[in-house]
Amino acid sequence: MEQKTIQLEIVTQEKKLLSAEVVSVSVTTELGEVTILPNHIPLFTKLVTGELRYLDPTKNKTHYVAISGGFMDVGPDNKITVLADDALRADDINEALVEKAKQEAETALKNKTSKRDFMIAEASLRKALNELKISRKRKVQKIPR
Amino acid sequence: MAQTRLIKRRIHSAKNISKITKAMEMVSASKMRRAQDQVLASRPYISKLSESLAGVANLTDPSLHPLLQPHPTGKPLLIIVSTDRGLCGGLNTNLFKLATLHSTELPDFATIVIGKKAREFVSRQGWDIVASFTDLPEKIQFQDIIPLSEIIIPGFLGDEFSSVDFVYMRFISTLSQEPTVTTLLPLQNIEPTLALGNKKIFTKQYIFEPSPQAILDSLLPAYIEFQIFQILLDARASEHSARMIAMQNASNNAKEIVEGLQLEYNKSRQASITTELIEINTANLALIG
Repeated sequence: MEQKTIQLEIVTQEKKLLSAEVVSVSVTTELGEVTILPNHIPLFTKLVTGELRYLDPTKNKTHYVAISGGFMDVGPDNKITVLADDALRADDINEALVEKAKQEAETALKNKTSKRDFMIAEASLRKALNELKISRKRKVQKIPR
Repeated sequence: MAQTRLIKRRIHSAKNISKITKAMEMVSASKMRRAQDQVLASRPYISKLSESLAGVANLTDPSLHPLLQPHPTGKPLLIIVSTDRGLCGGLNTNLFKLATLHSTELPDFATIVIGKKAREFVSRQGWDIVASFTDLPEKIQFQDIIPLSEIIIPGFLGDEFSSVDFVYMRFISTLSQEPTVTTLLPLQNIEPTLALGNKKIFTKQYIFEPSPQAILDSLLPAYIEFQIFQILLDARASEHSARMIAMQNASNNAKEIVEGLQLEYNKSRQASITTELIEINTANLALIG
């Protein structure tokens, strides 16, 4: 029997990140993590900074994408569109850069007193931590294979 | 002789200028290409976003949302998007002409200026400046417009501004840019796309998490911010193409001047040679005779 798939599309403000046929997608929404399987009822939800996992049926491999907020639209015909504020594939994450961003955000958190600056620094710190987490997770996964 | 030396010097300086304008033309050409690519790259996002917004608005009552409602209190806000640097032909002049024209329709208004040229212009006019943004980075990123949207959106919701209009150069093609006035707030222009999107996409039962209202509350600001982003990208693409064309014209003019001067130089050189020959011949004839 042919496996049912979902057409996953991730677009960010700067580009179309990826478009793939997948069998399951897990994302972190405002209310917690959800996993979407084929024939899911139409759903529109807000995403928070976190990871997106999808299972690629051709290689039976899970891929990770770091998402920094956005929206997810699960369409009626097995189509998922993720509108991400920013998204990075685990393979594309440059740990050195992220580490630097993390440190910058941490110092900014200590120094900045205004509420707005604090919020911006906090958001970028959360983003950096998320990207680091996902990038490391992928490495750990690779070892047993 | 003094004449020829003078011409030679002028040829030299015209050639130098044409080298500079040629270089600026090429720099602008590559920047323009990058700016255009950026505009194109953000297209899929905006189309998906407005599609989703259309669907959500269909299921909630969009007219209830404060960002969609016109309200009479507060001043109209005019945002003028210009360039930081000059040498881009008539771009800023045309832009300011439209801004002046548009401002006559507004009774009492405030402005936000983007770019040094707009700041100079608005302070010359004596208009009220709420904020000014200059020296935006060459490659505009989404976070660069957050300070701007943080003035606009709360200002509109807090009855400080009654409407928000953008005056900017819309990019049509490399050869033509059009000064344009767009009303950002209250949001109106999504309505036609709303009507189109409704029937096609969102006929089936949709679940909204946490709730349609909450989704709309966060989608609308995202949509507005993205509109601002697109306007700035458009203005940037216009700036570079206008500068490229201006520099191309300047290079062509310099070439024409060099040609004209060269002709004059050759003529005067020939004239002096002829005079010398006549003198030699006359002297020679006098000696023989």
